[in-house]
Amino acid sequence: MKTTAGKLSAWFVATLLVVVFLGYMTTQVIQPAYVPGVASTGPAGLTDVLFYVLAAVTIAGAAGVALSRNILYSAVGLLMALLGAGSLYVFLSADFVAVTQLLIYIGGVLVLILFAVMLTNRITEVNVSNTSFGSFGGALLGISVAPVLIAVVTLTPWPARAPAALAPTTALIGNGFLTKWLLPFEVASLVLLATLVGAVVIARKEIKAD
Amino acid sequence: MSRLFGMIFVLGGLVVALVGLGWAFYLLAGFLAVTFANAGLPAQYGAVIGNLLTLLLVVVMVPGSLLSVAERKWSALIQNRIGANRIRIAGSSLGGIPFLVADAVKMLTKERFQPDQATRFLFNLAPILAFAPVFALFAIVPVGPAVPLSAINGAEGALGRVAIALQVASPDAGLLYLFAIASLAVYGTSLAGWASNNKLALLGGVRAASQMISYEVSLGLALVGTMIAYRTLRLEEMVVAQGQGVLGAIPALGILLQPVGFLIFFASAFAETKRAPFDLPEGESEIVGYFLEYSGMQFGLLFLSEFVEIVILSGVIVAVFFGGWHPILFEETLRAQLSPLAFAAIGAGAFLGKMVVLMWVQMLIRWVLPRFRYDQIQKLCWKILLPAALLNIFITAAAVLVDPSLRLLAGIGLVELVAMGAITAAVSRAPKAAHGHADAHGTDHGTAHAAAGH
Repeated sequence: MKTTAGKLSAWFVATLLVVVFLGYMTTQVIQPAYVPGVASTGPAGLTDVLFYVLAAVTIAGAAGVALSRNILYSAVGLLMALLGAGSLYVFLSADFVAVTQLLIYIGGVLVLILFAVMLTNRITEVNVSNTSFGSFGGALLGISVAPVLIAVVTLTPWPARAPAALAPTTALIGNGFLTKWLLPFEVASLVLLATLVGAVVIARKEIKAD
Repeated sequence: MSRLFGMIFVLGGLVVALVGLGWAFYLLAGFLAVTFANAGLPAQYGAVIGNLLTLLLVVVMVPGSLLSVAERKWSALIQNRIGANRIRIAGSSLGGIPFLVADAVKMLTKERFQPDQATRFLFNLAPILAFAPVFALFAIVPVGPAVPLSAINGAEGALGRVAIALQVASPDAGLLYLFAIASLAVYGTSLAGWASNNKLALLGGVRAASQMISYEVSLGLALVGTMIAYRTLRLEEMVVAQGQGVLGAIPALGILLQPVGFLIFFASAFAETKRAPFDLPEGESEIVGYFLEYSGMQFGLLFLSEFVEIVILSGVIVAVFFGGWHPILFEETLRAQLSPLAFAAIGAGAFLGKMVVLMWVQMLIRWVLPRFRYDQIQKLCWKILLPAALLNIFITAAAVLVDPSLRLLAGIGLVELVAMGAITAAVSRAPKAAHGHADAHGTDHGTAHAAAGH
């Protein structure tokens, strides 16, 4: 894999796999017959404006994560993207999911990422902190995937319907987790526990090696 | 004797003023609700706007800024000094309150200084990120009970049945919203430390991040017990549940049902405010803190967010553990004798009064206790508070499962309270044996802080 040819062939194989996978997924998505959308296009209300603003914040944040040279800016971009996605959940009447997104991804995961970034060696030298590589392969992947994604976006019949009213869901979700979906819930917690133990094991080993 | 009468007079005046404040809040919210209804908008919008103005601007901001004066005067009281008194208006220092104006003028007119090679965008963003989430926390705190609009200003028909409560928002996720927003506060401090391009500030930021993410865990777990006991996540429902009697006439207060949960929550939330004894991120005597490079109002925002956190923490603790707006004493008589609006105003006044007491307690802790060493802070969180919180959840769940009427839980809580009192008494009687030890630990900190000032 050290040579350029080897790298290129690896990229081609990866691209091919992704395209095949996405193509298959596309057929799965589009299989329900394409019906011209009967979207009720009313005048753009305050809600619509809010939606587009939040969507723009999400996309701008995601772009910042990918394009920024400074890794701290990338972290702030991720913060914006996650916040925007969380607020979009509110538009789907899923306030519990929105709050959970805030609590876990922004308050937990991203803070830990930020913490790790701040402890990184040579963090003050911005240029080495967030370099980009593999631009040719990335462009190839992007170009080959784009038609599939565009096809999905244009061909899928997106049903436009008003979301359900904001109803209390917390108790329902809690009951669901502890009754009907108990097994998946417990399995997920087991996976998280295994991750925790694994992290501790890795950290302890490093200390012993010193 | 005259001093005693003076104190009674001042305290009585304070209580009357707080009740009057609650009354005024209800009148404003009711007036705006009717105005909005007349303009064809939902009446609740008007009530929410009124509550935003009264609760967030008056109840949070005014004590938040007054606490900066109170910190000087109360610390002086504790250390047997007089405190700030050099600004005199008509020969009186007015309890140091003019210093508030002086501080504001100083901070607003000071040069806004940017350190060389600081990350400009993040440097300017950090104070906003530190202040805004703290401010948003108070939105879910229920200061007063719901009162029908007809009882406030005699609105008729369907409009009269609209319930007006002194609470800005009531999301179904309730306490989860609290945890989620509280976890945002860490961004302000850690980014401020990083963006300053200063090693000491970076140290402060890293310390703040590690301390706050550690204590967030026990903060969340401490309240699970109350969630189990009251079977709700909404703060206003918790407050209502605390009004019912559980052991005879004793109401089911959170402090009675969950004394251990209260201690853990108070300690963790105190650590989240980053004040002494948990002031490692600031560490005036060693690293100055994450706000080292800030000046002017940007420093003011970082500084003010600390005080606002105190106010919010008092509000949340009152709502969850001290019965919220229930006046507790003579409650049934008051409810029967007075009009709904007067009762609600007394409730709001009771809430605000309890908040004032808790703010005083927090100031007391900050100026009396010596600070922890860094490893002690982490040890306290992970080895004491976290296991205690988990045990508390287990015991609470078992007690509620055995006896859903909460009587068993209240009995356990009573035993825990007595045990805590006994342990405190036993420990505090021992200073003679451990005299040298106590001396080595922490004398000078209080005076060091006082000398450094802010």
